[in-house]
Amino acid sequence: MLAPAHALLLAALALPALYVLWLSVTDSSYGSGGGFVGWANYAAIWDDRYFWRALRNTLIVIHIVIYAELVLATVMAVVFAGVRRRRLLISVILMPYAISEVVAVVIWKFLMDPDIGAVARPLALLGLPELHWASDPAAGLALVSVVSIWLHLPFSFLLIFAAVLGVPKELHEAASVDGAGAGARFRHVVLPAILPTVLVALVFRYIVAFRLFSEVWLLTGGGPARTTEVLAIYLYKQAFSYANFGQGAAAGWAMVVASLLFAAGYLKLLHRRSFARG
Amino acid sequence: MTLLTRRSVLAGAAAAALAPRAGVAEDKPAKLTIVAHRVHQLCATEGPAGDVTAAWRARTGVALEWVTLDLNAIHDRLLREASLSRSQVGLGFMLNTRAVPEALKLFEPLDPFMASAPIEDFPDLQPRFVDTFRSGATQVGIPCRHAVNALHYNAAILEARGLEAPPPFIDGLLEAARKISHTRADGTRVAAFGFEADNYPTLVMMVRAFGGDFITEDYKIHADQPAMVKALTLLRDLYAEGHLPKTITAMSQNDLIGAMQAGQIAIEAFPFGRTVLFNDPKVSKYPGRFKTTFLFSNQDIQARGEQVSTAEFWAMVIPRNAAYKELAWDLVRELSSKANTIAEAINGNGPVRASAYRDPRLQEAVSYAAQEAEALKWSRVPMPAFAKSAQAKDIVVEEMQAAMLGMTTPEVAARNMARRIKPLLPA
Repeated sequence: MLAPAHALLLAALALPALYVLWLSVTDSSYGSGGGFVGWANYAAIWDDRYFWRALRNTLIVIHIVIYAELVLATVMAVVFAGVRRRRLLISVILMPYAISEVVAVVIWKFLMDPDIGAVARPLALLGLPELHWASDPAAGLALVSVVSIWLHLPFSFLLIFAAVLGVPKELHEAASVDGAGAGARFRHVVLPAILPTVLVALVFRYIVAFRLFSEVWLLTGGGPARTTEVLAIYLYKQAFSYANFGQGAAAGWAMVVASLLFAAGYLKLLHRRSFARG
Repeated sequence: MTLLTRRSVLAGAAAAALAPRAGVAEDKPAKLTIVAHRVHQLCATEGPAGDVTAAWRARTGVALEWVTLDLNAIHDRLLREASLSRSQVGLGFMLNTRAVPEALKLFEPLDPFMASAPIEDFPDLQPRFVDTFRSGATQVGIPCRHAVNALHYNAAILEARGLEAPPPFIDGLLEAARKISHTRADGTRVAAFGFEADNYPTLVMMVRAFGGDFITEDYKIHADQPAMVKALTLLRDLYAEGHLPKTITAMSQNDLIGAMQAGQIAIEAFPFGRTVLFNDPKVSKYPGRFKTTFLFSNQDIQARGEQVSTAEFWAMVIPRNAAYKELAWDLVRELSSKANTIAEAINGNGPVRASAYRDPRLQEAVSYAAQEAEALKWSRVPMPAFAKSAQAKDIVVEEMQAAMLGMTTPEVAARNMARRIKPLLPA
């Protein structure tokens, strides 16, 4: 018999996922339930160069975003842990989390406009090269990465900061007595203690970052010439622009499988370091 | 004694389940839900002519709930609602490019309503708009708005650069752009030209101005012809020489409107009605200085006394699964009346009745009425409707952006458009 928790999980997660799986093997569209087409939708996205480009862009951006975010969050957490009266600093770090994602991206878009941007123009006046994020795909993905890091840094920071604060003072003192400097204390005391938390943050961010959508959609719209498209935009176009729900659903399942495959290594490591017995 | 049988229990339960539903269908609802663009709501409810729906709401006692969305989202919501077994949406607005048989079959045939309660002077509605929303012999949508494009220009900027107006011919655009683009004393760049680079109408306008076409009404594609190559070459040169904003490929419609109001762009192609926004003293740095003129043309077209003119148009449709179809039809009739068509036009709508432009109230209230009427006469849709038009749009935009930014040559981009779009067209 199903426990209420099981029933809730089934209703909220498993049934919609199974429905999307069913959609992915049909040619469903508006007003048509769709006939069974087998693996045709998966074959179509396999043969679609835009899918592979979107996958490549997604992987590039999320790897830049996640690792840069974790390094920044760790550095900030360690620095802030040693600072007194840090409430204001922490409030500033957390601020992006309080701002609507859409508003934040639109503000970044204006700030970085090469013609009128309040950040881009002073940088150009200082003699720095212009970031042509709307016409250069690499620059576009770079700006998407910066915005994404800015938006999600508070999440990683909070987790890691709590872990850093949880490192027993006695360990620091013992290391100091043994003659360890700040670098050695970080490497041999803090890092091993916070590593499970960093891995948790990494896995969470990996899975969430795979759904990257609004940063790209609102900054570049996937352009120029579809060169900055990511998987979520590919899915959106298939399902809601082209009314091809079957292929959109297949792209959704491809995203799930890809994110699980790429996160599997970290999950295994996390399990070994944090939960494995013995 | 009456025995309670399983059959009687089932029959009773079925009757109980059906009874309230039957009641709802006959009742008058508290509100009628409309899926539309914000501009539809504004033209119907706000502006110098006031709220056109007020009398209908007072007469019926039914409130209107406007669900306003962006272009793609409107059709997604509308078509998904219409695909359900029952929908809360009573009325929707559909663009001409979406009026394909697969979509139209989801909406109520309107001929029976027309027979019992006809729309006032129906032949006065532009026949080509009306015909677009036919599915076979059945009328499915009632046209309610057109958006005929014009060139909007900032007369203050052009005058300061020694020009009275944009050049009438497409051949003169690059030369004029070289005079117009500049950097102001405060460091702000002024781009000569701006357009929606994530859409195709301006490109199609340029192609037609060069004497060619994109997809004709018989679903033949002409994208690999010299006119398309010339249009793409012009866009490439405009971008390379800095006459378009650097972020043109990422600019939304709102970005373009804002840049125009701020004087960062001097000329844009938009529907005539946008001039109200450009000249709005509350948001524009140049109120009253924006003027309209016809789209770029060429000498041959001018010699024939014609204009290059692109237009898209909207119709009101009632989902087949809507609960209150007669009420929705009553609202369609109200919004389509002659008086209300003129009132909505004064509020900024593109009137679909030919007679509206002859009305002195409209002529007095809308400065561009005569120009718009002339442009409407020559207007054609940038692309005819077909099931895979969304894919075709993405292909055009992709190839156009690639050519404009120098990622590929105009010749290759034009050939790619034709090769990739041809299989998507109806046989």
